[in-house]
Amino acid sequence: MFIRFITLALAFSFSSAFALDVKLTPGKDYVEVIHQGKLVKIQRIQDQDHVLEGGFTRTSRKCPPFCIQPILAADDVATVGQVELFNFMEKELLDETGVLVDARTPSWWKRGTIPGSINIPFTIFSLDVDDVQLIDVMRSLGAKRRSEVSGLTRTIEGLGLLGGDLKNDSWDFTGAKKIILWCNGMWCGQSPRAIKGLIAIGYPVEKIFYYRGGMQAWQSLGLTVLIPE
Amino acid sequence: MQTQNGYLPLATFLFCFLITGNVYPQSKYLDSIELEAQSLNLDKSTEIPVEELEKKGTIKVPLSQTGGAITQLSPGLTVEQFETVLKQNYIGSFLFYKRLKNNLKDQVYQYYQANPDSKLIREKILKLNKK
Repeated sequence: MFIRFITLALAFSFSSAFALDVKLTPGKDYVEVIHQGKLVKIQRIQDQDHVLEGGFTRTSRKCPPFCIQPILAADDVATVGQVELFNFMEKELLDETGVLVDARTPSWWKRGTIPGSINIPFTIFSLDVDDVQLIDVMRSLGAKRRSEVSGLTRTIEGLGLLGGDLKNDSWDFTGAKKIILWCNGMWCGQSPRAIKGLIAIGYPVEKIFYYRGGMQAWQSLGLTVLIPE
Repeated sequence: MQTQNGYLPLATFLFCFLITGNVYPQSKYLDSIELEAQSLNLDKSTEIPVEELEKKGTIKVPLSQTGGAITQLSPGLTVEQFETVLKQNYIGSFLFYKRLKNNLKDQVYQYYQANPDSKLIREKILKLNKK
């Protein structure tokens, strides 16, 4: 009996020693994502006295251009928070039906990014429809550039046939992935611009999501940041 | 008529002012954000340089192949072939599979033998990882 008690006590203390005090959610200590082919564990800083340092502690930047963004980046584009992002990482990102997009310019990306993100600067989405860079990026999001489409085909597609709901003159969005776009946070216009660019291209709005908190919210929660190669 | 034309320069000025006031040109916007990025420092406490990942015990594997991913694992693969197909086509699932204990890996393989459907197998791997 005594031995069983000791065993149970040891097991309890062992598990307590390895449980995190600062979890992501009540049932989740961390999430894991694949970043550039490597497995990364995302968790929060465990030091409960830690106070944020660096550029994301700043309260004020000149507006414009660094103006406070509305909660919705565009009509019908849902805004998500960290918990939805964690779920996305565990599901869509892992099974490759989703893409997490750091929509900032490379100079921001190099300073640090959210693990699992790929860098697609917002400027890409305003390139010409035949620009190779845009075509490559769209392919990585699951959209294909269409070759010349006849008027008849478009007419039939316009009736909702031949999968026409997910096609326009230039792009086929049949395989379009779910995308979450983010930038620096509430005062950053880079991901809203990317979202508007994607919508202008014709990307299905129901597949676009906006993580408005961005890097500022990510940092303020003490979550893991990756410095890209 | 001359009096009406006298307002033209003022109207043009107002028009230009309103236009530039409401629309922030992309080139100017880019200049501003680049300047801001130069001075940015992040809190170092949670930073991990990518090259450090391997030192922290994470697994290095080739990047997932883009395109040509098979949707159905063909039946009758050996364990080694099964793992290779998983690795080549579903790198995320493969990483989670690699972390399973041997008896759970066997479970995955047996599950594949009964039902060689990639979607179901990947869900099974995730489910076993959460246990």
